[in-house]
Amino acid sequence: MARRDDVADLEEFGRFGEPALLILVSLADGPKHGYAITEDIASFAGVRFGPGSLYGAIARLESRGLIEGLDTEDRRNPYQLTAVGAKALRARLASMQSVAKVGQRRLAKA
Amino acid sequence: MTWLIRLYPSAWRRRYGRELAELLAAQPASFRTAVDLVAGAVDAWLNPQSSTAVTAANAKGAGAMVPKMLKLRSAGYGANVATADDIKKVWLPGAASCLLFFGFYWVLIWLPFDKTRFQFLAIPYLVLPFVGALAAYWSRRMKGSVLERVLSALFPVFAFVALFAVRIVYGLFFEGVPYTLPHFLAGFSVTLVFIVVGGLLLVLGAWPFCRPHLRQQLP
Repeated sequence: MARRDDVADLEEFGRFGEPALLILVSLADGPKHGYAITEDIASFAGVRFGPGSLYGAIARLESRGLIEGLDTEDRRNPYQLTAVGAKALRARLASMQSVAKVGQRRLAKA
Repeated sequence: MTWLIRLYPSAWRRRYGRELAELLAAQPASFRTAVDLVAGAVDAWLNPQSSTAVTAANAKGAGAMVPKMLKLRSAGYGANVATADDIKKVWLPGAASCLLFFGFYWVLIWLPFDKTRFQFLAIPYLVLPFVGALAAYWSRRMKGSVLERVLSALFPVFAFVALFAVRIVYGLFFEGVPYTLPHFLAGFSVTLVFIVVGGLLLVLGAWPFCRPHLRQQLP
């Protein structure tokens, strides 16, 4: 069962926090498998996570119900964002956006 | 490089191993990838609760709910644990602590001290409780049983005995100089002291980390 405090969940990911956030952003576009997630993140964020980091984050996200695997015949199992995951991502992005706004406002004054 | 996937817990491999192998096949092998995989394997062992989907998927049924709530099912618990996992809970922390110990000893013998002084000879023995504690702690994090933690802690002793055996074979067949009984007895006495004193110090260090799991304390 997924936890209710979804925003706190992402913060509890430790070193997997950044990969987890970027995976959620990548899956917001639609279901993807591991390799496609890596390529997508590399294209929009300019970072390429190693397979250990990627699947460490995927395992955490899946265990918390933020993403789910889709059953396919293919060896490459795609993942999709769950409703809980979408809610957590929205909350996280809103939080980041407010921080960015404050930062930009303060920089403009400086 | 796919062989590095074998470092992960078996339940984890059953869930993600195939995908990970697929991903590895799609990208060039590099040292950075290898380090990332090893770090991921260590994380999977140390934080099995972070991937409860692994065991939840394998143990569908109401019976899994209570232990899951108690966080007792993990990559290191339950029916999904293979014999290879049990063995890994011994050799992986044991080998890691052993490497640290012999690495430390290697550095020590390079230092400009009088190697024959008792104080110098005692230093490796003084660090043994910490080595034992480290191995038992890692084994406990990997959900090893009390016996597995003690065996992990005793790894330097096993390594010392193995080194002595190698020394005998080398002395008898490869050294060129005759390997006589006095040679054997000198090595044997040092090994015996290490087995008894070193073993005791290692177990002493491991002792605080040898309390049974909550699961084992439950009726």
